[in-house]
Amino acid sequence: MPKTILHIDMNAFFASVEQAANPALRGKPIAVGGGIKKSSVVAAASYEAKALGIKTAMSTWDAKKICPQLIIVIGDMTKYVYTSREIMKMLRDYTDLVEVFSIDEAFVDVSKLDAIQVAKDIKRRIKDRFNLTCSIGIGPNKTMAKLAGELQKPDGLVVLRPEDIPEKIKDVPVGELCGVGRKLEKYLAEMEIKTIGELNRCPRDVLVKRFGAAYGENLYAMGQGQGSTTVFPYYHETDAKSMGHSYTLPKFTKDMNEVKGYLLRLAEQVGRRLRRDNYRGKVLHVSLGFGDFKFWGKQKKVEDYIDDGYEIFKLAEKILDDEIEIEDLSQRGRGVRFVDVSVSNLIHNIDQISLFESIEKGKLALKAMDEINDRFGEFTVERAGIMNTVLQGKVGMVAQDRSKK
Amino acid sequence: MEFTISKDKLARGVQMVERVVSTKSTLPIIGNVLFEAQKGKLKLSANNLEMGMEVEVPAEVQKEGSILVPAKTLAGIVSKLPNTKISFKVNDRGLVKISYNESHLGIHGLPADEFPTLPKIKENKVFKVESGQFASMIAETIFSVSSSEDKYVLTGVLLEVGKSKTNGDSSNLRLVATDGYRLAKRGEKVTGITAAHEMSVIVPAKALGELNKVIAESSGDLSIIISAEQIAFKYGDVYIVSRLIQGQFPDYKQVIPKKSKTTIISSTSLFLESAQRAAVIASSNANIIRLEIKDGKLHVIANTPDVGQVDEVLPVEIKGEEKAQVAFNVRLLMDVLKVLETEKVTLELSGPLNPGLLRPTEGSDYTYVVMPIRTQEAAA
Repeated sequence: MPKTILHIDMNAFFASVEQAANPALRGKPIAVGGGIKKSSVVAAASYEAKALGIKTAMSTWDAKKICPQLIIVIGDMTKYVYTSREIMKMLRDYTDLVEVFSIDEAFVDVSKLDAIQVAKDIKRRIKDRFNLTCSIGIGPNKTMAKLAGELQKPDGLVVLRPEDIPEKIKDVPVGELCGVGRKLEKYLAEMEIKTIGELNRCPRDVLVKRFGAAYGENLYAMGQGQGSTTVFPYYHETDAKSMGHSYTLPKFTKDMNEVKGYLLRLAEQVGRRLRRDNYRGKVLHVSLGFGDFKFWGKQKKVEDYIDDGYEIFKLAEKILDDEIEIEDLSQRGRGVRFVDVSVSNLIHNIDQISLFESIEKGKLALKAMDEINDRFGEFTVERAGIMNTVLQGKVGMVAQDRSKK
Repeated sequence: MEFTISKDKLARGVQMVERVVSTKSTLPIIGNVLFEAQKGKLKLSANNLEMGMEVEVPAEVQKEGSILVPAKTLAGIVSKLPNTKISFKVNDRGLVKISYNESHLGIHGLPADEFPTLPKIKENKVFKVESGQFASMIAETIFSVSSSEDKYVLTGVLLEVGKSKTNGDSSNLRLVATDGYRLAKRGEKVTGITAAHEMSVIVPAKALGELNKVIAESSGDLSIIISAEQIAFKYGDVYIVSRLIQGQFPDYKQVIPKKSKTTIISSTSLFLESAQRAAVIASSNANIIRLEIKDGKLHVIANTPDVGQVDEVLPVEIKGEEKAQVAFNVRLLMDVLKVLETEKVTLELSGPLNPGLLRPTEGSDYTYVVMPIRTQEAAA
């Protein structure tokens, strides 16, 4: 049976949540960030701000220069995470096949439902309850559904039927495709590939030769309007094989300490998720993506099954320290752009009790921390070390959340 | 340097010291074996900066001297030499010429004075113990150490000399090892140990493992020499020295349960065989097995979805509460059942979340504590 996938993307999510919460901000150019500093970046801009040239990941300092009337709102993750969770819950009213793709994006497998009716219903309910708008795309696979959503913003609803795909998307810039960033877009432009139509006509081996098997095959498939149709339900991971989180940095870095900061945050998220679903894992995997489109990855078997984020971080850090030379980092194109941590060889509902009370007490402390965060919102309680490392841009469960089967 | 030696004796010495040689070190010189030809004997030494070993073998020494020989090449050649008299001669360019029958080969050596020696052990306490007895103490504890560098202290074995503070414990020499999930303790009463010897140190498992290969199934005096930072063992013509692990070993006495609800006495070998069969099924389910008492018998149960299940029934003698249900990592049980030499073993249980205790029914002063696994059913 052919699949129908729905992609939902909240419009200017953080900024819209702030505007919904505070009527004084409505209709005005606002940017959510960490204050007006050279080091702070715009995590999200309202549509009014976007119209004035404010872009995500621009420093708030520069943003204020471009647009002096811009209102900078200090980000409040608790609010965004809460809203996001409520929306994700709403999506699960229709089907369990909901994949949380980031804090403001999700895929829903609506193959067995009336897709357009569901889409209209979701849009109305989100508007009624939160006064927020979203763009919904419907397509035969995840890539096309997400692309459809990109075609109309804000407050869009676009359906790409398999038979319409070649014609409807042929003039769309390749940069709109999920996974085609600015750099890749530039490389493609050098090959005279600027639109999806041009990508469609490019032979597979040319792409594979230029970008390697993984990227090349993926690009070719996207050009043909193909993509994955498997939706990984987030809350219903029965016997997941691995759990991981990854994060694409707002800008390249050659600073190993910065990379480790992200690593710590991601590791804590992985730990949190393992504990929530009662998993522990024995194999740790760390990978980094570089500016030159090369990936580095290493996995390591650990002695004990782990579910403590800080322990995951310490082990991951050791892998980095042992394997990556600092000098090496500065030679890798523009540095690191992508960080990924995952834990596999999972066991479920199994806990080897320790002989030593201090270890068992540590487990209880983590459990207490989890319970508080469950009740009062994510990141209410954190380990001190994390406080110093706020992920810029999209934070929290945010970073691409995935679980492999 | 010039000497003649029998192949057997040379091979035995080289094999022993070669195990200490580190091949992965950033200091290439320690990949060598030091040859020292002295009056009537050849002394072979190797050292990886953590531990060192010296072995003396009888040799007809024509000319005294010393040289370093690459361990890997040396071990490769020595094991393949014919079973005859082998002569060694070093020329003035450092080439070690090895002759046997009518053949010869040469290995390039290095000057001996570049070899780092471990500091000589000092301010020591010395006592003697029967080698076979100490070998069994090592064998019954060493498998419980941690292999994780993150738990550095637990990668060693605690060696406690002196009277025990536990009531009813008459031992004066104890080895204790734990990886945080199980703990093995073996005590002995050694004549010759006095209050003056009292101390406790953490010995790297690697050093005890190498020592055990030398003294396993042996008899005779083993001298143990301990200083604040090092420990040395002397047995016959073999001398082993190792750095000690500095750190605080956990208070093991606290984790040994003092009483239990159920005591089960089983045949050691039948229990081991059942555990081994259950382990096959449990291997793809984190090695979990369940022990249960039903109708006066001990059941060893494993159940792995998609693989299969096993229910082993063992005839046992039960004292105390005639019911029990507890999950363990079967590997931790097999480890101890393999080393126990007595015909019967006592297993004491106190509920699904409390430690299990294993002991031989007679003979040696041995205790093994193993923590259970909390499964979904146990937690509920």
